[in-house]
Amino acid sequence: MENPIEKVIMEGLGDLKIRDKLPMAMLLANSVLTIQKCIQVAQNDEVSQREIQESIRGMLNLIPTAWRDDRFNEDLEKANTKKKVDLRPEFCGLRCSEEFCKKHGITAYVEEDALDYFKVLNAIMDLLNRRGLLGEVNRTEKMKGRKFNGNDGKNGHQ
Amino acid sequence: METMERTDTSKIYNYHGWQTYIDADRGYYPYFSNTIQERLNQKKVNNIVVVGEPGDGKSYLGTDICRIIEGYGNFSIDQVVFTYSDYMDLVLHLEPRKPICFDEPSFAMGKRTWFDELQRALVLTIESQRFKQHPLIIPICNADLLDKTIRTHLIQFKVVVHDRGKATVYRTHSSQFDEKFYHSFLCDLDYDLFDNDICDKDSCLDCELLNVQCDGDYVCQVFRARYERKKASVQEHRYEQARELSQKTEAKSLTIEQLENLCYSIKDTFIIDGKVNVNKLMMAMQEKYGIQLSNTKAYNIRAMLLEHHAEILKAV
Repeated sequence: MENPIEKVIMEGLGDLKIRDKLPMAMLLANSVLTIQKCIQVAQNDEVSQREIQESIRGMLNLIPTAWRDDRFNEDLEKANTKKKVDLRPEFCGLRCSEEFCKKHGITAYVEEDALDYFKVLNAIMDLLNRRGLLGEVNRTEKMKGRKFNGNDGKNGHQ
Repeated sequence: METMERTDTSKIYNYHGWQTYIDADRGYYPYFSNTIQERLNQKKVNNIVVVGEPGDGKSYLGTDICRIIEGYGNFSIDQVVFTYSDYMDLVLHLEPRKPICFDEPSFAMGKRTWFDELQRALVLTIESQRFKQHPLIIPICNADLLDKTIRTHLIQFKVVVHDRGKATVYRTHSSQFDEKFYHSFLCDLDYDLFDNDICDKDSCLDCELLNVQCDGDYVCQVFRARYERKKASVQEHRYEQARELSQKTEAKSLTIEQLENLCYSIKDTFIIDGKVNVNKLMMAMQEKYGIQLSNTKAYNIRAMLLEHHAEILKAV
């Protein structure tokens, strides 16, 4: 069944003229829908975990460099994790013990850099939220009604 | 399950000496104060009308806006005025860029006087006031109480108060092509009670310290207490005026017999050498009861006194 949101997006993209600016909102919405599809598929088939990663990577590449702020870069660094890869040889479907590998000079485990793609997705959504692309933020002038002293509050700034 | 990231990102910043919240996620930023400041720097006019129901805190909000514009501790109670003469005094003598709060202009005088004379004068003053660079804040129950020229062409911002410290700011525009008038949303205001670190009572009216004096000075010097005292003094004057007006109205409806009885009760003041002095009678009635008698009426009363109370003259 065709997704009505996707239909609107695809029609919108199809109507683009050369003089039009790229509709970023539609492109981003399209990649969000792609990620959702991948997640649905991944529930049935383990192979499509790779598709989720690819779709999130695709969305990450859609984010212009100018949009990326310090907090986004911090969030991306947090998404970097170490993955422990098991290199022990298998015999008849059973992995060798660590002692065996040590005795024969075989490296049992290595650590590889890996991205937690769901954290990346979360960082992207936070960035879009900060840029006011997800929902309209109600502009409010909030005053505490007190004199400002240099050390007011934990985040006080002079 | 992963733990949530810190969501409380509100930071407290210094804005003209006041604590203000800034939070991009929640949309907190001094939008309104910054807009006013920017317009002040560009020497543009800033006329703000604060509207809302009585008791919603229009006047407090109006003075709060003034205090933010001017900076902590710089706004004086003298810059809050209730009468047109005080307002003109400020326009003439106040330093440029200092805000004026013209509180409830319709309250300071009778509605009829307000509409007839003062509005016309105010239109002229507000139009030319921008050369003096005074942001003008007018707290009033309803903008319709202001002259149409003022509310459609001379007001730049309308602050609609919903509750104490809660309001919505609109930028007002009038069309240059037809008679339409537009309000565009600028921001919401969410002000905590000002000076709540000194006193957290939201109203001074039931506070026993309001009028307590020590060595000739009032004990409570919180801004809103000073405001309440100033308003009360104007209010007393207004009540006096209202009383005089009501007495005059009542005097007009008094019958000649009732007037005769009133005069009889103060007979000692106008009987001189056994004769009724009509001039003294008129003066006494004016002083004692605030009733202004015409000559004809005064002579009629004299005649009636002589007719009905001949014994008083004999006694004298």
